[in-house]
Order: sequence, then structure tokens, then C-alpha cells
Amino acid sequence: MKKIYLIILIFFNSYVLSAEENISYLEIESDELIITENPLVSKFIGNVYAKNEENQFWGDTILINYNNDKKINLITAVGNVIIEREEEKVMGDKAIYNLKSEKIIISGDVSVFRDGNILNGNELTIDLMTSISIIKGSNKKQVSAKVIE
Amino acid sequence: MNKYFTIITIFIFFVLLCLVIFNFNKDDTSQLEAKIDSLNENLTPGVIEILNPTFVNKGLDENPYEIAAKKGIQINEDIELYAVTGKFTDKDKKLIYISADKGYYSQNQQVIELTGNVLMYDDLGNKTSTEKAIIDIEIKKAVLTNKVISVTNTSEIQSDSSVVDDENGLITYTGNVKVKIKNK
Repeated sequence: MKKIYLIILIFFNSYVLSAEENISYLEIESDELIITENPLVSKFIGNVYAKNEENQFWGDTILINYNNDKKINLITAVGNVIIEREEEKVMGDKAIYNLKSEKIIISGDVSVFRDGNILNGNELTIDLMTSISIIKGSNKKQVSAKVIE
Repeated sequence: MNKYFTIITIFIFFVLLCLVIFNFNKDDTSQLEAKIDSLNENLTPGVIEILNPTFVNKGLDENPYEIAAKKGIQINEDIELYAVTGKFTDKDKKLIYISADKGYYSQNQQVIELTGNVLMYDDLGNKTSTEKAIIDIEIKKAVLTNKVISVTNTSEIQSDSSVVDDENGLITYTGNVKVKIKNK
């Protein structure tokens, strides 16, 4: 029997705005940037910090993939990932932000900090369209929560 | 008697005059020789100044380019250029234009070093500025140093240095990289 624990968290006041609107301007700082032409990929390496109007991202590396119209369609952060927005902070090993589906999937050793509460799990999916977040555990690591009453 | 005295006087005067003229010319020649020696010391051998030099490579199958300047000084095999402009083609045959205050063009090595207000741009409005760039024409690679700023329709990139490797389709920005991407 697979011991996968599922907790569905609904954040009513989070991620209300669409991702496309959030990413109207993306500012990124890093030690190095490598751009490859075919396919068009921007790879930011070393102490990467990115922000838009709503979100802030940190990671060891951040990859940006573009579609055929040279618009960003995927942002992938790898290594010591932190995503911060308003009163919430998420930490993990890897984060994939799909601008088309408007979902962020954070994987690895995931921790969610919000209003003093802490959730730990193996994978967190944030749906920016529906404002629903799902945190999952794995066979080895169950989801745990520390809730302040 | 008077007649002989007059002739002797004139002769003596003539001899004296000749001596004076000879000494004067000798001084003048010495001065001239000294001046020429001085000039020779200051001039570097093989230096030629060229007005509006233009270098064109119209290779049909590969790497056509044009480099022009307002003034050039040829030093042996290489040429120092002032107010440089140029046109290169990338691997997709797209034109890349350059301009800079000064350049140093090595014809043998097919390398041009640009300094001062270096600008590289294309017809699509993409432009990159820097203070120094070394372009290896043969391998289509440019190394940009000092305050690199690249601007396109959708982004602005700043960094300390950059390497544009056209042959492999790679652009690397290094040191204090700051990027602003417009995605709408």
C-alpha cells in the first residue's frame, strides 16, 4: 500500500492574479547568464534572485524556456529554492513555474511557511488560477504540519 | 703701385668672403643633417597613415565583412583605426553593424580590437554597447569587457563582461548580471 498522504490547502486570498499578468516584467540578478539560441534558453547561474510584481524567487540556478514567439513559458529554479510572496514563503530543492498552465510545482524537501504555520512535504503544487495548493508526501516522508492555534 | 694694392685688397676680400660663405653653408648643412637624424630617430619604420581606409571581404560562401574608418595608421602588418564602423554577417547571414572610437585591426589574424563607445547592433533593433570588444572574425566570436549592456525589444541585460559565440549560438554574460524581461 502506497503511503502517500495528501493535504489540500485552499488559500482564498493567494495567487488570485493570473501568472501572465504577474510576469509582465521579470527582473533577474545572477553571477552568470548563458543564453542558447536553439532552443532559446536563458540559464542564470550563481546566487540567482528573480522578482516580478508579486513574487520573489531565489535559487542556485534558474532556467527560462521560451515558446516560438520568444515569450517565457517555463521558469525552472534548481537548488536551495525559495519562493516568497506577501505573507508566504516556500522552500524546496526545485521549482517549475509553468506560465501556460499557471501552476508552480515545488519538489524535494518542501517547506511552506504561512502565518506562523509550517507544512513539510515532498511536493507542493500551487494552482494560480484556482488558488488551490496541494502538498504531497512520499513513501519515505509523510506530510507534516505545525499549526499555531 | 696703387693698382697692385687694389688688386691684392680685392683678392684678400674675395678669399675672406669665400671662407665666410663656406663656413655658413657648413653650419647649415650640419643643422640639416642633425634635423634629419632627429626625424629618423622619431619615426617608426613601416608606419603609414591612411585616410578613410576600408577593408572588404566579399567571400561568397563565407564571412563577408567590411571595416571602415576615418583614419588609419598602418604599423607593419596591423592597422590602428580611428572612428571605426563595420558590417559583419552572422551564421544566419544577418547583418551586424559595429562602431567604435578606436580599433586595432590585424589583417593576418583576422581580429579587430575595438575600444571606446563600442556599439554592436542589427536591423531588428537589438544592440549591445561596451567599452572594449575583441572580435575574432574567422571564428565569429566576440569578447566584450567593461560595462556590457544588451537591449532587445523584450529585454535589457547588464553585466561586467560577455562572450558572443555566434558559431555555437551561445551568449554568456558574466559578473553582476542584471536582466529585465518584458513578457507581455
